[in-house]
Amino acid sequence: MTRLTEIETGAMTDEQRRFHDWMAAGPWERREGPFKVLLHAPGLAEAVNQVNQHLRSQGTLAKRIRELVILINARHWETEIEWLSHEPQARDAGLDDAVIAALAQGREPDFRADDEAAVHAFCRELLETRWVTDATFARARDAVGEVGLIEVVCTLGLYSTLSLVMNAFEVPLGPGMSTPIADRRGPGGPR
Amino acid sequence: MSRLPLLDRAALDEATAAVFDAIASGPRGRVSPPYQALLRSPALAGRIQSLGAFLRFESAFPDSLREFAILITARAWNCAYEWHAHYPIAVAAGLPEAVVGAVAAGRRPDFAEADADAELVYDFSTELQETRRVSDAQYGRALARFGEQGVVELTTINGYYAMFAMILNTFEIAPPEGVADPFGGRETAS
Repeated sequence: MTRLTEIETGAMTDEQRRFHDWMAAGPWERREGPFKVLLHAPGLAEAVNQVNQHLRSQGTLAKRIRELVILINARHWETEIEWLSHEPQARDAGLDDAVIAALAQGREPDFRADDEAAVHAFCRELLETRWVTDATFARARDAVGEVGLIEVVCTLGLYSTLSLVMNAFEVPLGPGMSTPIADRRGPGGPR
Repeated sequence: MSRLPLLDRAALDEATAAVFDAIASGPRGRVSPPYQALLRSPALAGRIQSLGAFLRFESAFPDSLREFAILITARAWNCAYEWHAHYPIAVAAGLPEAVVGAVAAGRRPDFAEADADAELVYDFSTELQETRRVSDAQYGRALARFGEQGVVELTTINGYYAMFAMILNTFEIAPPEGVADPFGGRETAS
């Protein structure tokens, strides 16, 4: 059950219709993910997608690191649809199964790659304490570089935004999808 | 002291200078420290500033309520710079200083009847950021007052300014020297 209504294509602005057509031509997560919500504010879906497309295809970060950040974010906000959409992308990009499983279960992963460990520590500290210590900052910056770190922060921030959007509107899982975050808290506590 | 030095406009490469000038000549009128940080990646900075400009200058959500949501986010992230930058805009847009002052102090404001919309923004944003979700009742109230477009914009404002707080806090970008800590004495940078 979703909170959102469908927009009639006849009621869309030209810009909304162009974006709608781009969504319709894409994979499931493009059609049924956050953009379906953002499309309700004309102009917003496109502006958000411009940032996302840059981070996805023009950034300097290794895809493995970017997908790690997205999974950390999905776990933090308990946005299961985001997790399910990105878990296979993270695996394709070379993130270890054991790391993915630990993240899903809320355990500290046993990282084999130093850059993953540094970025994970950075993201967790920023999300949990809102700040990062000098040591955590320096370790992450040394691992991915100054521009890479900016991309890590912006990926975390952009996907936090997408998580809030999907959580606020209770964007549903697709048919046949099972819940990946077993201890997720609903509005009334764990399910 | 920020973890990133400010940029010297004269020393920028062509691509970075073009984005720098586009931001400076737009409605913002200057390149503030967080955009200076982002300009280490000029194409990303340009796209983020477009999204921010949309939320700030084009979205249908009322100015005073947008600014209130920004202040709530700044407080949640202990981000003095964001608070300092948006406080005067919020007050100029008509938010009562007592309401804003309570948020700064970490208290739920006493909302007057005339501030029912601000109360709704406070309750929705606080519940979303603290519990990561909004209850049916909360969602229903926001939907009835702001409509789907309004709730989408409000939610995105919460996220976008959280992203900005992440940037500001990561690079320890603080308000100018001599500005009192808006949150009552907490050290905002290590």
